[in-house]
Amino acid sequence: MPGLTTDQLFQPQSPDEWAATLLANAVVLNLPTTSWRDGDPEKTIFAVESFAFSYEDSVQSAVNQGNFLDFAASGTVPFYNVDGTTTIAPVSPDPSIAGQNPTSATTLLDTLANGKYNCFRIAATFAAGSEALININPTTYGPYAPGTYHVYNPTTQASYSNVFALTIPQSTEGVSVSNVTASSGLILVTTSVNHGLTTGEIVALVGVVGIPPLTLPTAWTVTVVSSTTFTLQGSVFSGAYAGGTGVVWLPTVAAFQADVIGAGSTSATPHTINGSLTSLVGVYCDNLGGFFGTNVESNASLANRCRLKLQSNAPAPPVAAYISVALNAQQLAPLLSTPMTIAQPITRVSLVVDPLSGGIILYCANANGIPSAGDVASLNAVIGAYAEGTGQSSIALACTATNVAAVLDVYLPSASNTAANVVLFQQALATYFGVAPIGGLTDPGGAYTNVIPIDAVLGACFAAAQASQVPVKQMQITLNASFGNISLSAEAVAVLSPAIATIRMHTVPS
Amino acid sequence: MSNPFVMPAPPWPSVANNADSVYGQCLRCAMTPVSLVQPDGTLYVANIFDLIGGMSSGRLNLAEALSRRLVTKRGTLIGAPNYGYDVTDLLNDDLGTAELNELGSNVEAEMKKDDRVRKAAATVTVVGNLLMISVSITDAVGPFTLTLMVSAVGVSVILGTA
Repeated sequence: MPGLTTDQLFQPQSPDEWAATLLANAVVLNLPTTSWRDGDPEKTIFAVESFAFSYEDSVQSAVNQGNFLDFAASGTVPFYNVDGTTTIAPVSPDPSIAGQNPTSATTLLDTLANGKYNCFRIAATFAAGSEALININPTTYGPYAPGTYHVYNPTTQASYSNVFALTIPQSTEGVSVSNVTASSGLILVTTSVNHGLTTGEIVALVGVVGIPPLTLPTAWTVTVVSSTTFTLQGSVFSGAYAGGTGVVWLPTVAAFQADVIGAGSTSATPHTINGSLTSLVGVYCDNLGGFFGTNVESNASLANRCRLKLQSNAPAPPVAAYISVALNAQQLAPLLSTPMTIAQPITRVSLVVDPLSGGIILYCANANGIPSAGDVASLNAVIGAYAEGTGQSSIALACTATNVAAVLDVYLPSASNTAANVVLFQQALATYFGVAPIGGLTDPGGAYTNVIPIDAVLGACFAAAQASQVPVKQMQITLNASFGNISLSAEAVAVLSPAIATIRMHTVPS
Repeated sequence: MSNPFVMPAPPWPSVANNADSVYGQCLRCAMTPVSLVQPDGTLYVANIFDLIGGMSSGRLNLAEALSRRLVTKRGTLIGAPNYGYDVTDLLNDDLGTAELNELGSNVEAEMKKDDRVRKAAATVTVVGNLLMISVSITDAVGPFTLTLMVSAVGVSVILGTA
């Protein structure tokens, strides 16, 4: 047999090509037949065999491509159907692409990444966090089995449910509020009598009038200032207090997680998950912090980590080793001699080498922006254990954040002016900013340096519309109320603020 | 798709008799359905043929080929979407004169798709539960008749002289 080229290994023969081969073989073998008309047994047998052999070729092509990283990640294989159509199938169906691999089934790329590179695809996670439940009714509700008490974010419609069995007794009614003022920008609450709270306790404020952040029953972690005053952590004061309104309650706090896995259920901002799907009289809900979910890792990202892993295993590890270790840190942290954890995987890294000392500074970010201090501490431990070579010094630092307020105007026919499409564009923007690199983008031609290009952001929105076949007539976007690019420092990452972009839909004739 | 199946140029291998230059040879067979699993997991069912031994040659070869056309549902033969006209589909239909005439025309059209058939004239009658299709055919050698008796239990074929 002659040697095979790579193309021959990767390109399956079509049924026509197989049929021609079979026919040529039949002639060479002097098969006692002279009939090749439609319906003749020989032709039908050859046709059936041709499709079967071609199918096996396609499978073999996928297997062959699956041995090479880039082909495993992004290669495709044609499958020839008996109805004359051709299906182009990915070598490794990408679980991060809607509809390709919805169950995240193991692909050839996973097999290659696990077996040869010891890299494992980062799984999707449920957005999760603490939800305060304020029950002002003298009734105990529940118990609710896990997953049966539902709340939701009225803006995104993402829903969440209790992780553990949940009983909601009447909340303890505390003291009355006598005043609400500002203290260094925070909300300072003054109570009529001693509140008896300690810093870190969680309270709910119900019935306060005149202070917009407290209009709805909301839950807060307090910092005690005096026996009759406390500030609300993370609050921003606004408005004018209407005297004599408001009571402090002590709510039930429970672990909740999204009903749907992935980043689509992220509610990054506190006080946004405040709608009750399980509707009970006198019961309010509020999230104390952000709920962050992550999507399953894409093929391209997994292949990139594999390549970096290869570099990190070189005898004299290049600086890319640091990037590889950082991107794999969530999986490496539990393997440390003193096991540690990283709650949100590090997905973005920017590396700076001090030209004088050779010291390495690694700026890191996760899909939501700035990693927590705990995650950065764990990352430093992982880098010290797995990346730092003899005589090298390094430090991992959280990136800084540049807030970006995005306002997208979409012009489209009335049939497409739907709440679902609003969410589509919100998610497209969240996805773009979730992967935008630290330090932004720099044009190789010198047109711009360290920016979030507004055209790229708008392009992501158009791409989302195109992928979902939303017939957009026109779009325009402002970033921080400007039609220009957003400049970043080299160690900054662009973070959507508010986390849910503002989408303004406009109906135009179709 | 292009059609890779073209009749090899003569001289053909193993020519058994002079009639092969007119009728050719092919495997003797009876029809049976087979299924293929497609890449998307669905089944594609097609008619193929159980080989029953030996070779078919002469006018019998043509008669078998024409008979196969009349028991194959159109669209089920791989690579030949316009092949076939399944007369067994009509067994339980209420067939009047107009329907029988249309049936005859369709049978004639199907016969003429075979390049060995120069003329075809079909007569269709219903006898009890039996559908009788009689086709007068002219090929390169001359005229002959092909009679199909279609019933719920199968199709019988009688090859006759003109």
